[in-house]
Formats: sequence, structure tokens, C-alpha cells
Amino acid sequence: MTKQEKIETSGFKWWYVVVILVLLVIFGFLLSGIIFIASLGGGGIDSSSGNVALIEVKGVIVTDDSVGLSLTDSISSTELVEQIEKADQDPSISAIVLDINSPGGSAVASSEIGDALKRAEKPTVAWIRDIGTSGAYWVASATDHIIAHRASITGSVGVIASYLEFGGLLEDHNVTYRRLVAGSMKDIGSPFKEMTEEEQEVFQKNLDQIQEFFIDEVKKNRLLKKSELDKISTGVFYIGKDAKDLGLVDELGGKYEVIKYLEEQEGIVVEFKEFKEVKSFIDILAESMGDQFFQIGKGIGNGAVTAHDNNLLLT
Amino acid sequence: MSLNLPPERKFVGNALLWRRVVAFVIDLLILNFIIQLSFSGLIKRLIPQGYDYSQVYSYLLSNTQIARSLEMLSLAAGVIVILYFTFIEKKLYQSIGKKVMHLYVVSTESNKIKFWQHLIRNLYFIPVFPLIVLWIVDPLFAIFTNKNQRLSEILSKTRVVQEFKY
Repeated sequence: MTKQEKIETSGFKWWYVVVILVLLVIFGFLLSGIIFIASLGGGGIDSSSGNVALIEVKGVIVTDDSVGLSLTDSISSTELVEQIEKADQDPSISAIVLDINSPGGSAVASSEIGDALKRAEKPTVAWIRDIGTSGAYWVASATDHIIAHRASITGSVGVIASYLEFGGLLEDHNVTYRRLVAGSMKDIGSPFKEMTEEEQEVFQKNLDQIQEFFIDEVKKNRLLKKSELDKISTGVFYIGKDAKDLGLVDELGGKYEVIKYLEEQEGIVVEFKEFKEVKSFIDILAESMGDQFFQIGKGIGNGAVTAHDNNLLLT
Repeated sequence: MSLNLPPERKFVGNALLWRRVVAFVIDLLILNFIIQLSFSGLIKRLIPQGYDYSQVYSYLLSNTQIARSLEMLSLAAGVIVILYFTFIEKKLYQSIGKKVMHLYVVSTESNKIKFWQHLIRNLYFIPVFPLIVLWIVDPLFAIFTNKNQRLSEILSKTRVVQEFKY
């Protein structure tokens, strides 16, 4: 026991305690609502129910989709790889389905997505809709099973880096391309001058090498014979029916066939769960602003740009 | 025959530790009810039902946004706990648990406890580093200091007392 102390109280007011408790419950509901709204619009993954991840591969495949509301649809490999990995780690997900509608894109981006699919421990299925060519086919080939419509366009196992050359047009209008380079190949691919034979050889050599990687990847993924490989390595595209005959796709069909395959082969009662990045209003606004500035900057920069803008695309 | 007993006398001393623990448990049960009532609906929406601990862990690893929402939720719960103790003890010098166990919060400086004193003595309820270190340090101080004060109580210049009658 210690020194004598006086406790300054005016009685315990139960009504006051009840009011505080009620206010705390109301405040709790309010916080709960705010957190719920934040979790919906915070750029997370869609949390709807389902046991099969449905991931869209729509538009040109790029490594990093830095432009938000660009007129050209694009999908970044960074985002796709993240979604594939999340679906693979999510215990509520039993299989991953890629909904493909893409003409292809960057070789590196396609390879990154393909590698993520091969690392996935869950069954993976590619469902090709209108188009799944080139880089998009690279991605599809990395899945366990490919289903395409008989009229879908697929294949196109090749690399392209074509561009318009304006050298003649500039000359006709008495505009001179003043070449200032340190390194004879520094402005290789510049549209303002005619490409030399030596430069074309460099380009061709690199394109051939990338195509070799591509063919090698498809060969490993699809276990194709040499005769089949020779046919597809021309870079020609096929409709779904011919692609099936060549072994580029496993089955003809659509969503129903995807569900049937997963039910029969994997024993999964399919309920799709969309895996996509949900962007908040602020994100969309910021990206839209970014897009405007990007287009302005691109317009200004185009005049001074050289070959570095010419990406090697699998489209 | 009437006994000529001296009038009842009261004096105030350090609250017994076991009384403090029981009072704290009573308050936690009440707070658990309030937090469950407020947040259970949201938790059900965020985490699929029927998962065991390892499944919830994997689910949160693969859904960083959901994990972030749960972090926010734990912070919100901490705020509610602080508000409960601050508002009730500021006016009544007792929480419900302390009322049941006949304990009071007093200032070691003056008669009235100021708002900042309440905040500091309850700040350890916010589940962030370094405040969570107090979850271990505070009880140790309460056990080993002369006046059984938690570190937060020493810093806020407050202590918990008990009224003795004889």
C-alpha cells in the first residue's frame, strides 16, 4: 500500500459508456466500408469467386505497358507474368486458362510469359479466339493444351522488323539527312536514309537468330517433327483447322471445349475467375494524362529518332 | 447493543497485478465484440471461407491487395481500441473492466488526466513497429517496477490505482 490519494470521480455513468460503445461500432462500420472501397479500387486482382483463373491476352504483347489509354491495345508481360504467378500461388485456383486474342508482339515479352507458364505447377490451357499468331502463339505453345476455333488465325512463326524508308521522299523535297554518327552502324534502320547491304545483313542475321529461338521454343513446347517445323518456319499463318493438322493446336473449339477438357482431363468442375488488374479512377486519370504527354513527346521526338525505335517484333 | 466502530476509511494504493490482468481481459472481450461486429462482414468478403491457416497464408501471399486491406483493418482495430480506452477513461477514470475490478487511472502529476496522457498510455495498441515492442516491454515494466507501472504509463505520467477500504 502506498500513500493516500484522492480519486476525482463523479460516479460511473453507464449511459456514457453505452453511447461510446455504439459510436465505436458505427465508426467501425464506417472504417470497414472505407477499407472495402479502397480494396476494390486499389489496383488489385479481381476477387470474384471461381476456381479456374481466366487471364486475358489481348492486343500487342509488350514488356511494359507504360501507356494507359493508348489507341493500340497492348498487354504487358510484366502484368501477365504477375497474374500467372498469383493464380499459381492462389489455393482457390485449380487451373489457368489464357484467353488469347493477340497478333503477337515483342519476342522478349512473349518469352517472359511463356517461361512463367512453364514454371506454373497448375494445368494451363490456351484458348485462341480470333487471332493468336506469332508472339501470342509462342505464349500459347507454352501451355499444356491449345484450343482454337477452326477459323482462328494462328501460327506465323517468324520475326518482322520492316519499316517505311523516307530517304527518297526527303530527297524529292530537297531535305537532306545530315548524318552525324560515331560508330558506322549507330543509325542502322534510320527511316531517313537508304539501308546499306551491310546494315541489311546485320538486321537479317539478328532476325534469323530470333526466329531460331522462336522455332526452337515451339519445337520443345509442342514436340513437333522436323517436317512440321519446316512448314511452319516460313512464318506463314494458318487457320485453326490447318493448324490442328500440323500439330500447332491440340483441339478445335471454344469456351465449351476448354471447360470440357478441364473437367475430363483434370477433374475440375470449372467456374471461371477473371484475373485482371482493376485500375482505380486515379490510376486511369494518371495514365490518361501520361498518354497525352507521351503522344506529344513522341511527336516531337520522332524527328530526331533513329533506328532505336525499330523494335524487332514477332507480329 | 451498538458497536462503537470507527467510520469506514478508504485509501488508495497500487492496483494489484492480477486485478489489472482480469480488468484487461474483460475490456478485451468487450472490444472483441465491437471489432467482430464491425469488421466480420468485410473479413468474410476478403478471405474465402473454409480455408485453414496455411491456405489463408498462401492466399494472402498471392493477393497483396487483400493483404494490404487486412493490414489497414488491423490498424483500424487498433484505433478503435485506443478510442475506447481514451474516451471512457478520460471522463470516468475507469474502463468497464476497471470498473468491475474497482481500479482507476490517475495522473501522477495533477488531478486531471490530459488527452495526450491517455493517447500515450494507449498508443501500444497500434500494431506497427516499434510500438509492438511495447507488447513485451510494457508487461515486464508492470511486473518489475515498484509502482507496477507499464513503460507507457511511466511515459504518460499515469498509473492505475485501487481503492482499499477498512
